[in-house]
Amino acid sequence: MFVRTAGAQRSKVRVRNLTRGGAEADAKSLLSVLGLGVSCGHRIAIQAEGDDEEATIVSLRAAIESGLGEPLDPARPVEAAE
Amino acid sequence: MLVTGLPGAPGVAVGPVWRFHVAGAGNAPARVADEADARTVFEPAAREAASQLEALGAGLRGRGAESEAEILEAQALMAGDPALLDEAVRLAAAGSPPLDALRAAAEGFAASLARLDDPLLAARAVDVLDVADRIARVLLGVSIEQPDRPSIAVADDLPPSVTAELPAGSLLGIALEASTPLAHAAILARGLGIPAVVAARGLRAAVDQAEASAVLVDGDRGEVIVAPTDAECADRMDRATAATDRRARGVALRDRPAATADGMRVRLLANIGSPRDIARALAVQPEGVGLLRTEFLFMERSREPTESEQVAAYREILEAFGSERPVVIRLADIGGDKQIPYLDLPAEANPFLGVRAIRLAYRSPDLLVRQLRAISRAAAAAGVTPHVMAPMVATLADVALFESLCATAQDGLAADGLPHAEGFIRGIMVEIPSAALMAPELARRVEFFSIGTNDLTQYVLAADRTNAALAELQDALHPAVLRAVASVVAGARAAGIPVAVCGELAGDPAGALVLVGLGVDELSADPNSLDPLRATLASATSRELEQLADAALQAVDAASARRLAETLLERTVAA
Repeated sequence: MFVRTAGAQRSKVRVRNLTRGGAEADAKSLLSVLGLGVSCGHRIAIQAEGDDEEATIVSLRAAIESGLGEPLDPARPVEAAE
Repeated sequence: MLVTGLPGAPGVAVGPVWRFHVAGAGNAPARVADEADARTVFEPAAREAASQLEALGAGLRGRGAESEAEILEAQALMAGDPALLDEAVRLAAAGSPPLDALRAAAEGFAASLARLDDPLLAARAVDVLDVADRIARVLLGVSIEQPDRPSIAVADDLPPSVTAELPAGSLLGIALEASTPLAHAAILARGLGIPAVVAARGLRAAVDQAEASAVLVDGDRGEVIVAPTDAECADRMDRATAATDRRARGVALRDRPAATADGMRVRLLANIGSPRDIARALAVQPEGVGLLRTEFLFMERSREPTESEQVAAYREILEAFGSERPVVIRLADIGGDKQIPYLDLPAEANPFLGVRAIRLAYRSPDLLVRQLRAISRAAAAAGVTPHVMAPMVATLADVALFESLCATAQDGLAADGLPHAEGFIRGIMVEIPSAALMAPELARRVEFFSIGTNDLTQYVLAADRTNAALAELQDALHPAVLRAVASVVAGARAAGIPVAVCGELAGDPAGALVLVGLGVDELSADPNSLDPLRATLASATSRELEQLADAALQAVDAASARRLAETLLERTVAA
């Protein structure tokens, strides 16, 4: 959903994982974004550059705040029963 | 011949072996001239693969498998991913044959995903390789050879998009040598209702050696039988039928309180791990929540949740269950093997025996005090009396600490002038042998017990429950564990407090029969286990359960105790 939203923008969008550190990634590439290892609670930084850069940031922020449309992965391991 | 793995998706299936392979050889260019040439080779194939994956995703959505559809939709994005394409183009232009370049590019991304210390993301590595294989098949103009009759897929791993591509009904079961219960192959199998076993090491060698034409997949137990006999098939299918039947009968009993055949009441409660479980739990009509694990609030984040953030989460859950269905909130069981970045706890040599849960509060009480404050405020807002439970209690001193944490929280709220509950109903987890031995004294200091059979078993038998080599010592029906449960029940009876069991044994029909026979008042289990439990309890009398418990206490080992319980279970099914 994040990558789809980024992909719909004209701007170049870069994203970094502040909690884990490491290089920045192209927000329009799912594989690069997955490679950031972002999980729930991590802080990320998004940078957009282009003629729709402000609108890009606004729509990405909205996508994140709406929970990215996902109930967290149903396969998230459940703690052992107790 | 039996091959042991892990349960991937529930159910039992028998059928002929099908091994997936690609039909035909196909042709792809041996070399490309330059980057532009490489793009003309890859781009149309990637577009075609992406549209195939979109179509498979839409197909799953049409069958109501929404979250499974998202797997395929994410794969469609990977097929069109500029980073994957750029890397394949770069390698091909540098002289690699295009198919090798594509594979190498995908393997690079798969390897970097596999390196992340997140098991969910690491399990996605196989999705990338699946996408690259699909693009390669498009380039070659070949496709997967489909089974000619309903079959069991036997493979090292079954790529998710291949699973989704097979026509409905052609796949009876899935048996994989590799993979994990978290992999998309297993998630898809669960979504499609196909029994699956994963991580069955030695499976393909066993199939080859036996020249087996048929295999049986037992997705409930995580076992594969290669070349099963008729008797084995009948036995496994009977068990599966009995399980299905118990569930159906339990559903029909939902609208009345759970009880034995002679009317002895047993409270059935749900274990939940976050607000996302509310709907799933309410659907099976539990009498409350016997265990709300609160780690969801504390794990996988870079800072501690604020008090008001916690209030909102507890309030949502307390309001959903209301005052008629009490919710037992377990204080955060963290530390040890559940590392929390913002707590900065030292690594320990023996995390299961270390400073965790309530023990953390001797040195830093603030985290649990804030949690208790949030629970008290949430309960006041929801208009209920909060039930709180301390994990990892070993001594009377731990109970005194728990009492003082509760008092600190309440005094602080009063001083701050914040609306809060009048008081807590306090209980403890009994999961450490010392607590089981001290049950009579502990019972006079708290208002309920909840036995955690998983940890109690691991501590009574000194068998690390994460160590697969000790699996035989992890059955909570071991008479040593049952004797500990019996003494906890006796201590609680003397003080007049109720005893619940919230470990996995409570959700296991055979285990539940023994526990109720031992005098346990409440069973708390995953919502998915409650319907079968209702039917199980309703088909035996309290006298039969007491006799079973007496025999199980005298059994020589866990396997004999389990056989006794299963004999009664089978009889109750026949009845």
